[in-house]
Amino acid sequence: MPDRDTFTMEQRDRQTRLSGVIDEHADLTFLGRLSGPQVTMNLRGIRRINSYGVRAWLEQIRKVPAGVAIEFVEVPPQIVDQINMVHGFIGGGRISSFYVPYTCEKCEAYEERLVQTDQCRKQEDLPKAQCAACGAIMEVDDVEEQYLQILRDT
Amino acid sequence: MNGRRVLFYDPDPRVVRIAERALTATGSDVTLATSEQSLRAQIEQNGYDLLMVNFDPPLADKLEWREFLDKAGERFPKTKLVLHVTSRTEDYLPLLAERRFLRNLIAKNDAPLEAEELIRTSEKILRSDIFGLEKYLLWGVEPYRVHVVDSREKPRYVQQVSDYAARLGCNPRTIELVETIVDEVVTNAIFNAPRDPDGKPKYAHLNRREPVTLATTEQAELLFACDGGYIGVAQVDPFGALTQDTVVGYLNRCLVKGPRQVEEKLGGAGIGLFRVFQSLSKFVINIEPNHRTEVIALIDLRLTMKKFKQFPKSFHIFVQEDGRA
Repeated sequence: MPDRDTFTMEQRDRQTRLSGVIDEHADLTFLGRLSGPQVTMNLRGIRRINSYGVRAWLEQIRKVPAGVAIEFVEVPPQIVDQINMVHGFIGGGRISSFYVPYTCEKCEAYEERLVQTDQCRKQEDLPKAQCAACGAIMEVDDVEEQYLQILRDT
Repeated sequence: MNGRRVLFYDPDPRVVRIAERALTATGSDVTLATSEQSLRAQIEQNGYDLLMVNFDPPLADKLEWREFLDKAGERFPKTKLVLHVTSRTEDYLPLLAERRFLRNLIAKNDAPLEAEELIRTSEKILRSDIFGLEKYLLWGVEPYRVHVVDSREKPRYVQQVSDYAARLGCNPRTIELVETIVDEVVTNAIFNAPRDPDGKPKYAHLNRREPVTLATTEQAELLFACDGGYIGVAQVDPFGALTQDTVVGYLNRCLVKGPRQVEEKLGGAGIGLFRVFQSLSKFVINIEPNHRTEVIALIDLRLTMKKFKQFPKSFHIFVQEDGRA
């Protein structure tokens, strides 16, 4: 059983599921062997990515065969950060769902809620969230523009 | 009084009141400049050990001031300069590359200025005593210390600090920031800092997958601590090879989103420092050239992630040369 930081890739429920830390030990060469026409890649399990991991990811995402369309789902906030900071991070892929971090100013509860890109695009905004603990309206605990940029870019 | 003279300038009277109290409390003789004209006139008198100047527009936009401050180092060699800014980090970082006088910047956030940071920064410079994570934390806090010896042990180093942050009750995103900082500074300590006897990088060319065990004289130290307000991580290496130009160059290149962001040469990706910078509230680099480098990253735990990202970051490079900071 790999620890939470060990990078793993598994096929489950018709999705390519990535988890762990993308660093110098993560083998990302599978990206170059993807076969299409469509691959659904679930990033929920990615805990973080280091500088070497960013470079390795960029190298491999460029090797995704032409004709393979990657649909990224359940993109966590730490990967949203990368998409906003690093040029070409998702290659030619598109993001169909992502997690938005919310925090409650009243009781300091924190949670990440899954949001569908198409749904947000219709609303032209991120959805409101109610705190499960105290019922207050929660704040998006991040720069909202980073998430709205995804709606424009994908 | 300790005989040291400090000249302070800020157009905001609230900031001036804080600075006057804080700097006078250190025992220095504090002069307050009330306008750009009086600031210029006071600097020309050349009697100050330290200038602490607000570097926001309109002053920051004036070419004459940039050039004046650029040359101030040569004209007044005993006078050190610290600037405080409200500009976004992305705005002042490119200036760092152009203007060598921009070495110490204190960020102003919601509060007009942190008296603690004014005192800490001025005293580090005036006392020529620049090293130590402890200076950034409340008295009584004792940092945990880990020897950085082997690249294969990096996950264990990261885990120790990560577990510590979890015990403090940090949320998952703050823990991820802490892990990112430790990952990058440890990689830096193992691969980038060590020098051979000729002063050339010893392991920087290696693929980061290659195992490296540091000799006793090459080993770095990782420190971490929290005082309730800040969690701090420091890495100290016994080489002092990092330079201001290296730091500023890497940070600026990464700021521009584009194909040249990430290096494709063998070795590191060249974005480690930037990733550290993006993960902290205050960045402090202390350098004793050819002897020691200390990289300190502080995360303000009182901020939401939104404010953490929106607020400017303090940035300091202190260089200790010939016993002087």
